[in-house]
Amino acid sequence: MSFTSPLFYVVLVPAAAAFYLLSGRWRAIYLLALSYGFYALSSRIYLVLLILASAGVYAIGLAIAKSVSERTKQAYMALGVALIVGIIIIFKAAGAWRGLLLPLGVSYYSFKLISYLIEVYWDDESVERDPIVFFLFPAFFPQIVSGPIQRPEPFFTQMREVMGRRLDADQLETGCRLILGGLMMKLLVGDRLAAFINLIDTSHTDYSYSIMLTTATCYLLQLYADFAGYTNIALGIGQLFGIEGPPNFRAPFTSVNVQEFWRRWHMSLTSWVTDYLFTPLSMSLRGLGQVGLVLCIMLNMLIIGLWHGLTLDFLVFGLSQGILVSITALIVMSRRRAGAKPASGPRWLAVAGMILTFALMTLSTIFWHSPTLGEATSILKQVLAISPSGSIGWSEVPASLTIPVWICMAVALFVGAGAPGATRLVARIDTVAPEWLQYGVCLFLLSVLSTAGSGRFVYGQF
Amino acid sequence: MDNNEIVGRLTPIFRDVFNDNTLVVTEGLTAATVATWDSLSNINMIVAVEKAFGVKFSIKDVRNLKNVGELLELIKRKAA
Repeated sequence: MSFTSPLFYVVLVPAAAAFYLLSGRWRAIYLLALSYGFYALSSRIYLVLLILASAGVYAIGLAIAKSVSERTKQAYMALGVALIVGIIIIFKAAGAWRGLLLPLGVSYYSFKLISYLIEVYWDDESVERDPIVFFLFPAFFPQIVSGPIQRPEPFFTQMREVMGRRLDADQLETGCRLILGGLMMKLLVGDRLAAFINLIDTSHTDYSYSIMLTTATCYLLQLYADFAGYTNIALGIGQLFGIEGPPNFRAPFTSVNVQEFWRRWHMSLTSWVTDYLFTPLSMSLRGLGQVGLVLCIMLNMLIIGLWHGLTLDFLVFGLSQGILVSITALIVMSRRRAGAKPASGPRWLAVAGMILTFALMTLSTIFWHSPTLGEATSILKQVLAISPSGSIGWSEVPASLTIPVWICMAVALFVGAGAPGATRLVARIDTVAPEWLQYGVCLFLLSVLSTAGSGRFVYGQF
Repeated sequence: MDNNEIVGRLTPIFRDVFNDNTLVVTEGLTAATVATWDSLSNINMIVAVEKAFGVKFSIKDVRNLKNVGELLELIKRKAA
């Protein structure tokens, strides 16, 4: 059941209400049953895989904590990580080469389980002995479809807390606002951009250069609107059950270089890779200086690319990001050595950096977006004016698509740049419009402006 | 080695690695309060501290550090 389907919300409201009618441990048991029920709607066989993977990691976690010798702990941790990585690789390979449908959320819950194993290895006290609370961690339904990838400790702490407290009205309101904002971003902005992209995708070589350039820009903006929208919905649903998840975006379009962009984009994944891959790897290779650093960055970005799928497209995407981030890191380090302060320099340089970063990420997203490497190369050549463009101009694109596309691009760009001035605007609206009216307007816009056949999340396929 | 001595030796390292000549190193100092303290400069800082104090840290040691105070304790433990 999709987070954008009206039926989901018809079920969600009583399901959340029932959660608060229960008390203590029953809340966790109920939430686990709810999460498994949600998963079973997608696939009962893969639910067995989720339970088995959780049970394996639960047992290995206890074994790590119980072991005295460092070598035994390390062996258990390596066994657990190999087990989970094996599951990811088998299904990703089967998905890429045999067209097998991936188990729902496998990329997300497996990363949660790996982080748990490493945390317990690093610190025995991170072990979670309560099986219900532990099994809930990978299965928690608001985060199972496409993350965000929450860390074990904040989840366990909040879950234990919510078992012992009363309903928090403020948290419920925050949750509702996040869901509504996320739905608007996804259904009104992301899906409209997707409709335009789908039209051009059918025969992109027939369209004029300016249309193709606009479409390529839409790839990144649509991806942002879709995934940021999804994340807000997931975070909002989590809040209804007392769990605050980690954010995924922090104004990514204000990044002045590609390295910064990756600190602001899909943050729950990039911070995961930094903590559990980059840091240990760079510690091991610290004697190699800049060569070690570049090796670590390349491997990091390659993993981020291939995490999305074991295809040539994502390999090229990962490699291109590795090269861009390595170059940026070397420049930043040499500038720092020369005495440059962060965020120093003229304002125009920062703006130029933002535009260049946006352009580089737009070009990279072509590989992300296209189903095959050949298609991506063809679009890239057209966008870079290496290949000739077609003759279909703006006048031949239906006006019902073009005007909304320009508006949606502006909205996605504005929100992705941190929505400057929005707080002041909201404060003003609060003084003239009561909350029920604000919610009403949002719901009205959602019901009137949603595109037909919308609702599929881009990140749901990973 | 007492804490003051270690802080005294850490200060030029931190100022150099984090590129801030006015940085005041205290036991409560954390990565969040230094603008240039990111995952890249963190590794540079670890390498420089290891070299200065003749110690070797493991990922487990470094991972659990929450502030400079804990780094001081780690240096004392490793140098003992």
